Amino acid sequence: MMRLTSHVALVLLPILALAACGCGGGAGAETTVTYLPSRPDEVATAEAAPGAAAPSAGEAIAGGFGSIKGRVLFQGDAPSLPPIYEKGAAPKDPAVCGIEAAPNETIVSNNGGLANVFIYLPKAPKGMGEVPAPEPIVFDQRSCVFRPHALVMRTGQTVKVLNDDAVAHNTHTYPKRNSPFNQTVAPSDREGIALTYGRPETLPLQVGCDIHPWMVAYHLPVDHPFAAVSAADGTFEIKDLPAGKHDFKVWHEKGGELNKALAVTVKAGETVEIEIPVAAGQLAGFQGPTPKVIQLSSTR
Amino acid sequence: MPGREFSMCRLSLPATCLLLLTLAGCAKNPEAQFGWRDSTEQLIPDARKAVQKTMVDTFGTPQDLVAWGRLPVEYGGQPPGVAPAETPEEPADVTTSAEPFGHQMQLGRLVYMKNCLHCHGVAGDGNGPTARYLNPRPRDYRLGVFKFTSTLAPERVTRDDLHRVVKYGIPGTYMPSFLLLGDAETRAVVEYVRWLAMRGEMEKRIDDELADYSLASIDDEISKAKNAYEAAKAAGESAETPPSRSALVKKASEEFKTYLAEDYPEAVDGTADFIAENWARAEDEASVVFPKVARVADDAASRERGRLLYLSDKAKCYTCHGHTGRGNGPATEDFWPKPGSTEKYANRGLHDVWGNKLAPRNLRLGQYRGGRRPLDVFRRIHAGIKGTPMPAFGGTVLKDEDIWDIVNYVMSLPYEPEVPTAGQPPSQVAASSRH
Amino acid sequence: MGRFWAVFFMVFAAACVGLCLVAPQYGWWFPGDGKAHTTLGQKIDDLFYLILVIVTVTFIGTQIALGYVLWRGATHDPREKALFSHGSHTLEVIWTIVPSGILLFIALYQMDVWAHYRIKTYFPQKLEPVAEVTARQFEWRIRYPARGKKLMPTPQPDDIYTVNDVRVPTGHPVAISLRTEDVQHSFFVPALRVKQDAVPGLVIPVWWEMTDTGTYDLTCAELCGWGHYKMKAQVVAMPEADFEAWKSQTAAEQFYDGVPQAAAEVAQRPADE
Repeated sequence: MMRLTSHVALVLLPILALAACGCGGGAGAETTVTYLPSRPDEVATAEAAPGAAAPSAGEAIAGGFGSIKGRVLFQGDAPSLPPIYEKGAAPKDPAVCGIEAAPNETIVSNNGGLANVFIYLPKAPKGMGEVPAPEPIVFDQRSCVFRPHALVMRTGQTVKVLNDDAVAHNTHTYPKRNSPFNQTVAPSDREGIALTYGRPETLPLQVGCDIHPWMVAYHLPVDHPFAAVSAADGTFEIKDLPAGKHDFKVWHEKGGELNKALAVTVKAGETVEIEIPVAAGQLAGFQGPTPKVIQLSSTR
Repeated sequence: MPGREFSMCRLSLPATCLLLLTLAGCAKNPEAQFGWRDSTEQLIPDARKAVQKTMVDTFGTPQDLVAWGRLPVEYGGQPPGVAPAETPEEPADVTTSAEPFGHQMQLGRLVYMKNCLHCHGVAGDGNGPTARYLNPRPRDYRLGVFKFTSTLAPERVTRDDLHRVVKYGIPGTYMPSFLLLGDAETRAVVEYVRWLAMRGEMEKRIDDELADYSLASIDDEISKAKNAYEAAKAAGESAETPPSRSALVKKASEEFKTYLAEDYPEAVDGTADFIAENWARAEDEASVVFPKVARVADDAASRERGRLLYLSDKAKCYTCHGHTGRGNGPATEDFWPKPGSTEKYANRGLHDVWGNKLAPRNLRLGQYRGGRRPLDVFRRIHAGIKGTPMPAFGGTVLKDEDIWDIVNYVMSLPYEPEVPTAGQPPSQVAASSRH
Repeated sequence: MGRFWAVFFMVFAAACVGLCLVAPQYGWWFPGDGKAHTTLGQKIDDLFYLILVIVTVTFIGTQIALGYVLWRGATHDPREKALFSHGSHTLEVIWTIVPSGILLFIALYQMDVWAHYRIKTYFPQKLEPVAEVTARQFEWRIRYPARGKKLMPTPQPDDIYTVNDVRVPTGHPVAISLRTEDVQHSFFVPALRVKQDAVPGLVIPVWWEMTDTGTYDLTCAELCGWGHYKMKAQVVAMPEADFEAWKSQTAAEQFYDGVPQAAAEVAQRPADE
């Protein structure tokens, strides 16, 4: 038989130990706050804005300017994609959107060329001065189709979003590095709403309409003038490039980044002719079955 | 009594076991950690380490916070080494200068950990332990998007908006009112939530900058290369075998080294400036929506005008909110594309920018999540609801008087009997009369 | 050894009584300042004290008896023979009748207070609900009628809404209509001695009459989920005139349209506290 003190110890000690578990940690734990200055001084001097600095020893403006003229070739048979909906058969607002059939602009090929391909420099060339933003450009929507389908603009340039339809459109952009634009544009608004991108994007961004989900377009804001969209027959031109070697990005909505770094050497005073071949197989979904048309409700 | 008496010695073994069990309490409490976004986890290891290092350098951990001066956050007190800004109107306050730097941030963190963490998560990702039981889910701050704001559509949320939400809660959701929290605590937790939102935005935007170094883009390249290889083989031409995943990861790591040295600091800087600019601009007076005209008289004529606008092609409210305001409009039956993509959601109906299914508000309940003042309803229509398909009608499509008419109509709906409207499809009528 | 245990138990008994005597001055007593701030609440406190007195007398009496028995058992001569008793009918009768009598007395004595609390026909006449309090996980949503109007069972366009803030006037009995949006909660204002479960599907009238102004804690007293612990609100009692003025001001804030009105009306800042 154990003594009383052992009894007490056996019962009390575990209880005390259990109670002690509650100590320490949790929301009341010790924390520290360290101040990080906004801009470390060393970084401030090294990071002079590229536009404001004098031309660096690298690509020299003194080297002169040249141009690029080119064509995006579509290798393969031109696909005949059926329109998103036929004339008069628009799933929403048929009276307005059904005035014309809505073309499927995902792959547009004419005379062996591929349209709506973005060719652009991912970054402004070093040593470029500040080039002022040009005049406002127009981004319209008619018969529930964005016009143009692919658009390049400069950072700071005003894009006037217009509406040529008798119904409202809710233009919604999805940029990565800018704030999204999400505004309803009044019917038949020819004054438009101003849309400006403050920062350059590295890849074209999609523009849609929240009311008419089939409406799609692509924007690419850049902070230099060396970007182009291939025309309906695949041709494009980029002027006044500083002489030297440049790496262009080539992008198409169905193929994504077709070329991450297309090297082009520009000589002063000359026009370089290039051809960019795009195989049909590079355009995703091209060789698959035709996309299923989802029947949208017809009560609108 | 015959038999052995109960020996106390038998207790010694169970008692010792119990004692040993209690030693579990001696272990250190696990510390809260900021979880990483999926997009960070999906980067190649070198890129991921760079992002994580940047985040820890500029924001710290929940135990060792970093108060970055570049962000428009009031940490409380005077930063060390920075002279206090003295203005003639506000001489340096003796009492506050005695407080250590970062005291408001510490208080905010404490209040957050005690009250908000279990739903909103340590990093404000809306995925705390209780979140799985809640519908709608708690807000994920990490996109920098808050729904119920007083600002224009492109602007961020203001401190006042967050203050209101903390004080009055969001009816119809699990966000309760913290009316009794106390002014200093509420202000502190609002600052901390803003800081968490900026942190989340920073992580997301840097991940976006490094999209080329993500495993998703590597998988994309592999599939493209495979397609090209198959196509070439089918055409009978010779083609390179598609590269292996590890080879591509190695290549990407090499490229990342150059990127890290040349472009990464600029990308981080640009992102930080962008975030700081936007959050600071939200506090400007010009960012806040105020009607230019007082509320139009709430009479039958105004409500009828509002009803006609509601059903018009200009505003098209009925497409989502239904012909009688039940939130069962035709848009809830469509398949909608995901934001910024042509791919559609797997299920019908509308979604918010966090990927959750979102039903348009049933306007007949008299439940106003963003506030029931006429000003609040005006703001919802004028500037839309950020992160949701509710568009911004003000300044472009609808004049202020039009918006007031719709406000009068909408705020009368809970008290009016439901009457099928002309042009309402029969299926909608049947659905609404069921309730 | 026996003596030690006798003293040991008596010390505990004495400590209980002693603690009770000094408790009020340490604040280990009724919540807040210890007073009940409603008329019925004071009656509840009176009942409490009545029972406390009865129980204390009984406690002291039985503990003295226990102590005597313990001491006697510890100090008795081992040669003394125990008394074998086969029960005492008289004793049994006494200690059945006396406690029953006491309990019956208590039961009858408190009937009045219970009726005033729980039976509608005993509520004060002409009792108009001043607000409808809806409990929900995990807050209290309160709906007041517009100034000068009666509270209707269904929401009216000019009703005034607050969250976690129950305002009542002093000077006359006030009632609230208690309901819940989801699960069972309980409307518990300890300082006013008011407690009533909110049951889903029912609208329950709860009344009291303030004796003082002030702000009192309202907590939930029925486990309702993971947020039950933080379901705290406040009940603010103010004179009738102030209450009406508060209603006007809150209505003005609630119907604020963003355009500052003329100086005569209340000018509000956009997101005022």
